[in-house]
Amino acid sequence: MRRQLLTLAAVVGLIASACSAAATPAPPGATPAAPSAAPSAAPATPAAPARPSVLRVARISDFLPSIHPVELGTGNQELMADLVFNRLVDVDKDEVTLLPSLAESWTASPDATVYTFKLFDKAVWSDGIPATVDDVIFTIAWSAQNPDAFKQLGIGSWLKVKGADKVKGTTNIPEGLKKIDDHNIEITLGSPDATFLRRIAGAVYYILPQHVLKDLTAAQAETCDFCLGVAGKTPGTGPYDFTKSISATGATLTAKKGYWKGTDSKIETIDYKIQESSVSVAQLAAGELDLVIRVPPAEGPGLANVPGLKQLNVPGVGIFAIDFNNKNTDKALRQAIAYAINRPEMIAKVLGGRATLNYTIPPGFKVYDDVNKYEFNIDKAKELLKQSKWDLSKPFRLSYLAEDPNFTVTAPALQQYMQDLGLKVELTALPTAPYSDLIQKTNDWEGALSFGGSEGVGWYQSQQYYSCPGLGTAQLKLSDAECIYDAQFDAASAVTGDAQDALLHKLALSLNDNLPEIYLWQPNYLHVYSDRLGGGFAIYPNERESFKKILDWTYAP
Amino acid sequence: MGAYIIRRILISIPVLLGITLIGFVALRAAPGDPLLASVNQEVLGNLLSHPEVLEAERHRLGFDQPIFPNQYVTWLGNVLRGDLGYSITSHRPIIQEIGTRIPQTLFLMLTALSLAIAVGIPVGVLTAVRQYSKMDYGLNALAIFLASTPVFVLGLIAIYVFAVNLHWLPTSQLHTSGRDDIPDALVHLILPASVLAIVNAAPLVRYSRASMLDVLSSEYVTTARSKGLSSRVVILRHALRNGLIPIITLVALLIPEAVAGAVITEQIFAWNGMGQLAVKAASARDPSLMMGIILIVGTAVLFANLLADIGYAVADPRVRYDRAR
Repeated sequence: MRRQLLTLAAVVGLIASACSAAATPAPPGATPAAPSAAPSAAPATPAAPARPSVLRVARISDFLPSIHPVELGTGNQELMADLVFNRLVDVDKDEVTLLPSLAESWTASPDATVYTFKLFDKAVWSDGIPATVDDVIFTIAWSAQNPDAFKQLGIGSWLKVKGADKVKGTTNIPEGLKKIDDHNIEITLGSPDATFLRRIAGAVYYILPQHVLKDLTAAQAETCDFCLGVAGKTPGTGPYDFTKSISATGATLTAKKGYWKGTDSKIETIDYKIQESSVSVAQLAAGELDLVIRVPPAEGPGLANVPGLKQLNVPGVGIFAIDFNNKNTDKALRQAIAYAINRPEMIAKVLGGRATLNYTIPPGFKVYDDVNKYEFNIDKAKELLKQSKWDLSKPFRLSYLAEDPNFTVTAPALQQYMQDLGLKVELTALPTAPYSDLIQKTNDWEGALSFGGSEGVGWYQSQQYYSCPGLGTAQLKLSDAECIYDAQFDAASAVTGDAQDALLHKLALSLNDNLPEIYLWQPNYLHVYSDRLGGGFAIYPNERESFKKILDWTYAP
Repeated sequence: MGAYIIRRILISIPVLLGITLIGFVALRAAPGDPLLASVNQEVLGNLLSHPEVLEAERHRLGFDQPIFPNQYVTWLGNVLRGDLGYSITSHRPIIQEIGTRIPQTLFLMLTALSLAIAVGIPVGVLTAVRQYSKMDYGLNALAIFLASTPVFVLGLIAIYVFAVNLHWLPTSQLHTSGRDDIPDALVHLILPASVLAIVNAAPLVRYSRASMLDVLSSEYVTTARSKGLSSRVVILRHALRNGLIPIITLVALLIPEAVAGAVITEQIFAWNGMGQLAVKAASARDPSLMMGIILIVGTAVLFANLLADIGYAVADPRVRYDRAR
């Protein structure tokens, strides 16, 4: 029996060792993670060394365990990319002011067509190779040569570079890229775009290391070590390196010593966790996490009394909307539904006040005086329904993702409003794969609930949803024959000031009248953080960009 | 016995093939496009606006071939060469995905099941021997209560009491941030392993008790007692061995769980094991990953059945399996 017990103990010990080894693969060339606890004995010095600062972070949202831009599609990836890489420019927490990133200065021609960038002379990759204009050219050229490789966020701004469309499938460089010297580059666009600089501050536009990826094919971009964020194999120019490879449960990042920008991050290690919201909330309450972005608002009161935690409850930049299948609905029906939903009542009673009312235009747009606010008016709604071609004997099929709590709470209430209007509403809640099939491949639905996005950052963020061809042009938004909005967004991008405002006004009114989708409200986001975070710590309105000024943050261990 | 084991292993091969074939066809034929499911919903249009890209990707992954025999035979051939393919969501080899999870699952499940067996069977035997005593009533009531309490309730209570309120133990995961040593892992193991052990021990108590009561009322036990043997000898030497036979089946059924993981417990305690992987694979419609899991868990089930049969023979010498005898 004793021998059996010893054997059992040995087996458990071996598995424990395997778990420890599996949890922390030792990457070749990686900076070793600092120990979290002071050694039990300090023979040389009487005072124990200070605890290293390990910031424990979670953002409650989805995640794809990759870092190459071709697979960069979630906010968690964007936050990690902002720590490890640099864009040409960054944006400040006001989401408007541009900041240096890899470029220390830049200029734009008056017609918003020619941009020049001066890169920092001292910029280097993690492996010590200088970061130069060649890396910028490589990044833009590779994107233009392999545009179809980008399965998640698009890199539309790189494709606007003059000649980008002509190098697809080749190894040529777009003619709009002109190397002046190792640290100066001129980028010429095929058409004017005044939003170019702001757009390329997005995480997906980070500059890639040519010396690591020069032979990378589109297919390899999903599986290469760099692409998967393998520690020691993913050199960046940003202030952090991966010291524990990206996995489905997150990654560990360690601050560079002697960072080329002249200031090292005061937070030595960031333990970035991807996990369920219930786990994050419990860890917050137990003091095992320092920052959780997007805590479910309902958890706010419960966490309010936890010592050392602070809360930030702010309107998010995303939007809750009803998207329409425009093959099955007409404008009168869509307007009728907009009038029939009592949005203030929904926000107060269903969402507990944790949302901001929207006036059925994308939230990045200015609310012009002549925008129809579609205030609740059931009589007008019924009148419009009569004018529509909708057959009242048919069910109105409203679909949504079954696993998303944003929908499971709101869908029955929306159903009730629409039934009060006189519609027979059939709710269809489906898991991701069949939901995608239903929406994208069939016509067997009239409305679909959508949530998220970053439209609130600026009007230009909405263009991707109206690009033509773009997101479900066959069904979502307007059909091909009515593909009218993409060009209007482009036209507004090409100018500034009053001219731009006039175009946006017209675009807003058109969206507001035609209602390709009903924008209902902007849900509030709750962020909870430790009072040990200080310095320039801030959560951006678009929280996905909050690490762009990590060098200013402090953290008291 | 040796020939019996070899025969059982040979029988297991077509059974395993059958399991994988049914799993493969069912997964491929299920509604929903796994390629679309792997793309962020907000930016799905970028892919959908280029159907030729989608088709090329489908061709590259072999999804455009007939499910049987083409896709299945290709998959089987790759498996025989040790290649389980790539996950379409994480883009990592399936071997790597499963390989990093199995040690964590085994660590948790073997500990929990060992505890459950070490506690559940002796308590079951004890309550049978002391039938109708206060201890019997008390332990039975407790076992019924625990067996009927969902594991997530016990888990959440444990987290709330021991981690959030008392700060004695960590809430979840295998390691504290910045640590990867074994003592730290053992501390993290306490809550999930205890909860799982309790949940699994409760039915073991009930089964052991019932089985022992059955054996204790049999004639050969009465004969043993009438021969003047001590209670201790009667119970340990004569009754327990027979009483254990049905328990072997129960324990054997728990073994595949040690590989498959405890889905809910892993979820509550953020334990990065096979259970969580299976949930993610299913919700993301990741066919290669799901097939990898089916293959591993199917093998574990067959292995557990084999162990159970061997266990019967060891526990009861009357059981004869070898046709040659």
